Amino acid sequence: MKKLIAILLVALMLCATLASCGVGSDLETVQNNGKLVVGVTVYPPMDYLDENGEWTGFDAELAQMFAESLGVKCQIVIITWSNKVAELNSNAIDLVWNGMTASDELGEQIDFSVSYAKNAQVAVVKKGSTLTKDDVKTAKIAVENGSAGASVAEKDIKATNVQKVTAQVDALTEVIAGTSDVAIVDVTMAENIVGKGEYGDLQILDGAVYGEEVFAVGLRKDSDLKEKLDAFLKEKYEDGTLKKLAEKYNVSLNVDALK
Amino acid sequence: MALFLEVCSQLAGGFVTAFLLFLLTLIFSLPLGLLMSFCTMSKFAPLRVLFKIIVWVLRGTPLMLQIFAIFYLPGLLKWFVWPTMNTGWVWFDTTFTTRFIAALVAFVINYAAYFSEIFRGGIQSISQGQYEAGQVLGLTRREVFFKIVLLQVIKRIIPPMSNEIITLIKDTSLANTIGVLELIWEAKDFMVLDGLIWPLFIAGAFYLIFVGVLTIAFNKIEKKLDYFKA
Repeated sequence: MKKLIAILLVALMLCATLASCGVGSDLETVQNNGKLVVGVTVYPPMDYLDENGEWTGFDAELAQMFAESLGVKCQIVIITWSNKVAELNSNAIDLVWNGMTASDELGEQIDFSVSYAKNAQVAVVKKGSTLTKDDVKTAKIAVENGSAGASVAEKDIKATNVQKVTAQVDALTEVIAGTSDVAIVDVTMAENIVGKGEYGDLQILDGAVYGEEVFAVGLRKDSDLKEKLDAFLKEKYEDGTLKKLAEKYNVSLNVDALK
Repeated sequence: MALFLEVCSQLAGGFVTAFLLFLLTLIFSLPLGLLMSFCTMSKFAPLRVLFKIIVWVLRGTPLMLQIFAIFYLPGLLKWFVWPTMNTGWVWFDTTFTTRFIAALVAFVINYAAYFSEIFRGGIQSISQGQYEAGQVLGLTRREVFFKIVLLQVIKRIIPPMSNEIITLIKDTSLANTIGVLELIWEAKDFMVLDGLIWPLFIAGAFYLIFVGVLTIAFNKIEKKLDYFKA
């Protein structure tokens, strides 16, 4: 029995070393595979599918341009937002490019590109709600777990009653259903969906704008793609591409983060 | 009405993914489960204990966690990255994605563990006297199992099996945690993109109808095996 266990362990270690030999640097892997794998969620207007099933959006278009600049294909895959660190560190994807807020906590797990836009959080309430910005602190707040909205609710507003849900859209559903009073979500997300379909009965609370975060692309720690990516983003800021994209997708983002 | 049809057709796409995951899980996990049940009943103690532990772990941890572990752990531990399908056949490559395969592996081993316990219960419920009678008639143990015991086992395990199989079709929704675009995911897509909540309930109707079909099928099978009065 002991022999058997020893053999198994040796085999396992052998597998581990063999596999790790095959893993080159990120840039080499991307170039060898001829494709850059970008993890996103469906998040209009940043990343979404058009009528023909092609990826489009502010971030999707940038990601495709970046892949092109490396001379490789851009493969966009859908991930679960809370799994983004595991997706990167397990090499399932190469980049997270999805209107991601660069936070200090997240920065301990993964690397960020230079920030390419300034983001803000807004409070969304039911139409005709009598809540004001001052009431938000004590209201029932719904936020996406691990999102910038969650950290606004807990750290900035120091709200007393925060309900965490799995997606930003679920936070808005809470408000329509009346199970929460306020949802704190990204301004890009809110502007895109508030007023649509069954979310028609929602409005962005006047003056309730929070946070001073920036959007960045996520990479594996010490990835050699960072240098290329940073240069690419700076170039796209300087030649006005970021601004054009913001207008094209009607994103109220401040793209002067790279100034 | 046009919107309703659009929703239904997108949901149908998600249902195909869920159904394929369901069907392939059954195809692989039933034989694997039978094999596992033999291992947990083995006279060779190390094998028996090993498989009892495996079944304990598989039934004792959430399937969602197992899906996560199977997809991400190999990469996190730098063993290997799940390969991408590249046959050039677009439907095949986009249906059986890396993520789908990883989810399938998780479902197969998880459900094999549950099935193995159902098989074990069924096999052990057959009285020892039947084996002895078979031996008296000059049959080998193998012949007794396949010609006498197995058919009775199948009849006895149909009700618990149908229960587990009905659970399986609904469990397929757990695959969306690693980005498998199945029925619930497609329904939630309408929430994000169009602000529509009701497609989620249409998705519920898809499951309900499918489970209705399964229920009728299992009733038919039970009736068919009726001549096998114990």
